[in-house]
Formats: sequence, C-alpha cells, structure tokens
Amino acid sequence: MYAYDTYDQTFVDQRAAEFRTQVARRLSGELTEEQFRPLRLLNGLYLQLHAYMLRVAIPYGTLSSRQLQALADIADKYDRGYGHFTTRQNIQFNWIKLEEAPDILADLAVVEMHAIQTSGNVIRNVTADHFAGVILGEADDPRITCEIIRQWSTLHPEFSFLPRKFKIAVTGSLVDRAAIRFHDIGIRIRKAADASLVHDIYIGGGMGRTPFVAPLVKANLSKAGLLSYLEAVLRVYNRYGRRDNIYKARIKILVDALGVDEFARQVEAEWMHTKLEGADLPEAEEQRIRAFFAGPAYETGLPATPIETPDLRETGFADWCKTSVFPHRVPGYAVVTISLKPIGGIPGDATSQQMRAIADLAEAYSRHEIRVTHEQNLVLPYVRQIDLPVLWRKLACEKLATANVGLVSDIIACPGLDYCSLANARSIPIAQRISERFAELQQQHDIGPLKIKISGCINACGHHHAGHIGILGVDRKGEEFYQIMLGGTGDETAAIGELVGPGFSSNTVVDAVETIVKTFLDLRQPGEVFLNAVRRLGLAPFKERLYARS
Amino acid sequence: MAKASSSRQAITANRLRDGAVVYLAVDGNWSENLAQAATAPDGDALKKLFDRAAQSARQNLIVDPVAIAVDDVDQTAPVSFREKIRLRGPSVRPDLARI
Amino acid sequence: MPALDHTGARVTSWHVAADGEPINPSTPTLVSLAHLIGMNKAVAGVLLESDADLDQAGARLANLTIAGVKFTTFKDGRPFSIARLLRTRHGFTGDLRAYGPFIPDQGAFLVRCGFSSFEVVDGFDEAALRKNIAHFSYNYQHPLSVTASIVALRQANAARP
Repeated sequence: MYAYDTYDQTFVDQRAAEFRTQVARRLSGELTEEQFRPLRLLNGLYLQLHAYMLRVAIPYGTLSSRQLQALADIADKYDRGYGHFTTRQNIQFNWIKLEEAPDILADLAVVEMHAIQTSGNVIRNVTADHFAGVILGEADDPRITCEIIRQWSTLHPEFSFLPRKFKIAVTGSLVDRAAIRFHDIGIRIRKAADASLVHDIYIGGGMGRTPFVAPLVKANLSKAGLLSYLEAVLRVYNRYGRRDNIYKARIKILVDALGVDEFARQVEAEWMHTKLEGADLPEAEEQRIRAFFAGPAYETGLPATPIETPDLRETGFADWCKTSVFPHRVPGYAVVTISLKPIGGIPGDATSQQMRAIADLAEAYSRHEIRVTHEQNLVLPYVRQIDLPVLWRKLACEKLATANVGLVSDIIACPGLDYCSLANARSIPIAQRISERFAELQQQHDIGPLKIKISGCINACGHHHAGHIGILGVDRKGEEFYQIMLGGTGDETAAIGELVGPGFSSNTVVDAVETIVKTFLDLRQPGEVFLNAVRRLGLAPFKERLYARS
Repeated sequence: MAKASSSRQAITANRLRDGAVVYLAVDGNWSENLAQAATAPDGDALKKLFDRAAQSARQNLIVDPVAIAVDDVDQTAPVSFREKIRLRGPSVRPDLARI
Repeated sequence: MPALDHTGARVTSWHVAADGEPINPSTPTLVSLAHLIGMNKAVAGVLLESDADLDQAGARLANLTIAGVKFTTFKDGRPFSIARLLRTRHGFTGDLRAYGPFIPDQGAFLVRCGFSSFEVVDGFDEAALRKNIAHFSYNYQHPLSVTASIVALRQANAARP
C-alpha cells in the first residue's frame, strides 16, 4: 500500500498542527462558532447529538494492521471503546471532545492518517472497489487512480469551497462493487483495444433528495489526461453549480439542468485549456505511486481450498466460505470478507478489541492489510486458502465470523437518530430487528443475495435508493415512520429503488420487510435472486401483499 | 398512547469544549441534568432564558442553544423523540446511557 | 478599510468607482465589468463579481494593472476559479486583490490561486492571515505562487544524481 514520503508526512503533520491552533483560537473565543464550523468540518469534526464526532479518512478503504491498531487505541483513549465504519469506507468516533481532537489528529499523523476532507463542501475521501488489486478480471488496481486523485484533491486551492460536497469512486472492474454511478464522479478503468488503460467518466450520480444514476459523460479518457479532465469538471461545477439552495447544489442538478450533452461540451471546452496548464501527473510520478500497489510477493504452488474437510463443514465453516470467501486472482489465495453485521448487532460498529483482533489476524494471515467496504464490512485481501479454517475459528472467537455477507442480515445502516443531528428517525434498531427476524442462517442462505439499506433521513448516507430493499426513516408528526423502496441497486446495473407505497410505523416495518421476502419466496423462479424477481414481477405483487386489507 | 402535553420549554445546547448535552439551569449555569433545567412557558420568560443562553454562546461556553418542549407532568422528560435520545444517549447502547 | 499584500503587509486601498463616475487617472481605481466593457479609455482595473463572465471582457483584462474579485460569502468558492482564470487564461499579470467576507484561514488558498493582495475590514485578523499563508511547507497542486509543488519536488529529487 501507499507509504508517505517526507512531503506527505510533513503535510499531514502541519495540517494537524494547524488544526491545533484553530481549536485553541475557538476555545479562547478568538473564533466564533460560525467562523470555526467550516474549519472543523474540513478536518472531519462534526457536532452530533451527544458529542463531537470525528470522521477519520481511510483512503480508498485500505488500512494497515498498524493503522487499525492505532484506530483501536484512539477508540480507547479518546472515545468509548468502539468505532463505526461508514458507507464511505471511513471510520467515525462518536464521543469526541473538541479539546482532545488535535491530539487525535496528531496520533493519526504518526500512522500516516488524517481526517482531511471527510466533511465540508470539498472533494471527499475517494472510494474504491474493496477488492481492488486482488480480484479476477480487473483492468487496473483502482487505488492507484484513487491515490493520484487523493493527492491532487488534498487542500486543492481552487476546489475547497465548492457549492456542495463532492464524492468520487473508482473501479477497475466491470462488476461494480463501488457504486460508481451513485457518485458525483464515477470512474471505471478499462483496457482499450490497444491494451492501454482508459477511463470512462460518469458524472452527476447521487442519492439524497433527488437521486440520479450518473450518465456516461466521457468515454475512453486516456490515463494521462485524468487530472486535467477532473480539473475541468470541477471548475465548471465550481463556477456554475447552484449556491442558492443546498438541495440543488450537487453537480447532479447542474448536469440535469444543462443536459448531459451541454454539460459535456462545457467541460470539454474547459479541458482544452486545463490540459495545457500542467495539472496532469508526469508519467514518472504515476509510476512512483503505482509501485506501491504492486501487491505482495505471492507464494506459488499453494494447495487449493480445504473446504471439503467434513468436521469443519458441520460447524458452519462451509456456510462461511460460501458467503465470506471470494476467489483471488492468484491461485491458492482467497479474499475474505469479515462481517461486521452479527445478528442483532449495530451495522459497521467494531469494538477496540475486535479492531485489534482483526489487525493481528491481518498481520498473521493477510500481509498486514485490511480493506473497509462501503457495505460496512472489512476485508482481508491476501489470505492463503490453507489458512482459511484457522482464520475462521479465530474470527469466530471474536464474533466476527457471521456467515451472512451479501445476505438479508448484511444490512447497511447510517447512524440515524441514535447519533446523527440531521436524522429524522432511527436506522440502527430497524436493522437490528430485521436481522433478528431472519436470524436463522439456513433461511438467509435460502433467500439468497439480498441487500437491505437503511437511511434515517433523505441525505441517504445509508444508500436506501440503492437497496434491493431500501428503507427511509421519516418523521411523521413526531413519530418514526419508514418508507420502503424496491429494486434499487448500486452495482453495474445501477437503478434507483421505487417507492412501494405508504410508509410503515416502527412497529410494522419489520413485518413489511418479511412480507416482501415471503412474497419473493412464493413467486421466485428456480435460482432467481431477489433483485431479478423484483425486476421481472414489478411492484404489483408486493404491493398487493403489503397493503391487502384483511 | 396519549400524547404528552407540554406548555413549558427548557433551553438545551452542546458544551463547546466536549460537546456534551447540557441544559440551562435555574442558577444560570449549564447542567447535564434536565431536572435542574429552568423552564418557562412560551413568551417573555422563555425569551429571557434564551437571551441568557445566547450570552453563554457568546462567552464560548456552549454551542447551538435551542428551546425544547418538556412534559407538563414530568418536567425531566422532553417531549420530542430526538430530545429523549439526546437526554438518554443512543437507544441502541443502553450500556452507555446517561440516565 | 485597510488592504494587505500577499505577505500580510499593509498597502494602499484602491478606489472603487461607481458606474458613470469620472475616473481620476492618478488614483488606482477599479470599475465594474460592465463599466469596463463600455469604456473606450484605458483604465487601471476592474472589480469582478464572483459570477463574472470573463470572456465578455476579451483581451482587455490583460492590459489592466490591478483587479479585484469579490466574495459574496466566504463559502463562495467562485473567486478562486476566477483568479486562476485571470492568471492562466486572460493574461492578467497585475496585482489581484480579494474583496468581500473571505476569512483569514483562506489566505493560502487565495495566494495559491493567484491573489496577491487583500482588502479587509477593520478588525480582520491579519496575524491569522499571515500565519495561514506561510503555514504549509509543501502543497500537492501545481502552483501559481512561487513554491514548487510536491510533484515537482519529487521529480527534481528523482532527477538528482
């Protein structure tokens, strides 16, 4: 993975030092809250319901064991012994004191981490396919592009006061695990016919109040022109994106208002200039960054998976292999997803003890590397298949071996009204109750792949628009109510879920989800997965069962 | 379930230095305990409380003061669901509950 | 109202002329973009709103010796783009001054986008501005100001024997 040089390190150290003086100015009263708020937000520090919340950047979801250890230490030293992995591959600490925030940034800087641009109207932490570099059929490791964009966008002097936040995701695969078309910019790296790497640029996707699936704005962009093209996109957005209404300020609204062709034309016209202005990375610098992502030296001649061992099959190892173990591009290796969704647990939460255990396991079995998925799970990317049984047993000891990845209880949920000052309703308890309703693992495996995503407000941090079953919490006259959407997906067939009908109370929403699942089980064709059944059947049979008058 | 009736309000905010949930107390200080909060019906008395809160904000003690409705019968209970969660802590972590 | 140069030192404020006001050639004066376009005579400078259409002014911008760009609020990021465009595309090489309610903590961003001076209100935290401008030793982006970018420094180091 990428390692800081003296420039990166000096930069992050100075950033932490700068924030220390800004906090001191605030505490002394030199800065008012109004003046300080944007400064703290640019360092990922929010004021939430119960305390300050610090969102730490995990660039493109890649962590070293040492970094995860440091996060565990921060959870114990400054927080209440746990952290929350988010849908942007970051981690949030919920109980932070303003006066200690500078110390946390200093501790983070020691392990080459920071909280820069995890909030505010800036280019946010760039996300990537969590299987980057290890999955079969990838044109290029998207993290190389992500790191290039990370450096280019870090404290960009021109783009630090955009109309609104700006999110970029990158994948190098045709299979989309990064939900690129729900981002302000989604980048797919492909191999062109001549084997050179090109980028397809999707612009103007997003969720929130007005969801859009991003259209393709620029195909076949050469690798060498990426930054100048991004600079052109951001400049058009910075100048012409709406600033009068925060609900209309995202780039998706600009793209929609201008139309894709006109937007593309304006960017193209700008790009004719920016590509001559030195924004693009010299080839040698690209090669320098690329070298960090070459991956470990793999062992050759390793035996294949020991999944047929009978005694292990009886105890759930086979189920876990089915959901948590993914093929690796190198024979003899596997990619392991660690579920942070125990039945009845809080999606994405991990205790400091679990973080340390995972850091140790990564040290022993995955070349010190961990990934964070946007689905709020963790990944060990370099596991030898012969190590799977022992790894599984050790994960199980920490309650980290739930065999539910990709299944009905692997739910995305934002923090919701339990923590978040923007939320209208709670998300976590709904996720917990759905997970408990479907606790029986065999039943989950029978239902098959099903993604439930829950947000506690229209900002859609829980990606409800992209859920096969999406749930949106709303406030109805002081009561929590939940709207249900069906048929959304963030994958390569990206689609926005469709509202199924009137909302459900907190008491009835879990029954409604169960009714939807039962309807699917009754109507599915052999081997059909939930999303395909919804696409084939439409909403009608689900509506009928949900709203049938008894 | 009968709706709580409320004719009085308290002032809440987050403490600047640590973000903790606090309430403007009768003695003019900020308390983590809603039971100590000064309450007033909508009108001049409430405005006075709010002025005091605004002063505390200017003195950099607290951030974002707002008036919240409290239950007429039990003045230690906020009416809104959001304020109940702020008072008690995350509903999903009873082990971390404040009260 | 005081003005500061890019090191934070005090400099003279410029006169901002109302549209139609006679221009005194011996006083550094900014006029509006509309005024500039409508004028036949040479003028020292222009004060641009943050939504200004620079292409309207054509080649005239290159001949100015002073210019200003006005923030509507500090969150208004458009002046940063306008400044870069003036410098890189419209040939403006004179003194470029930020106007409006920008904040001291934007100092380095302003300088790095091509601003060279600041019009500030009384009570503006000049020390914080100076600190902000000088704070970072390195930056990632290709610069308009004098310091080399991190990318350029890495290239130079790699080329060294």
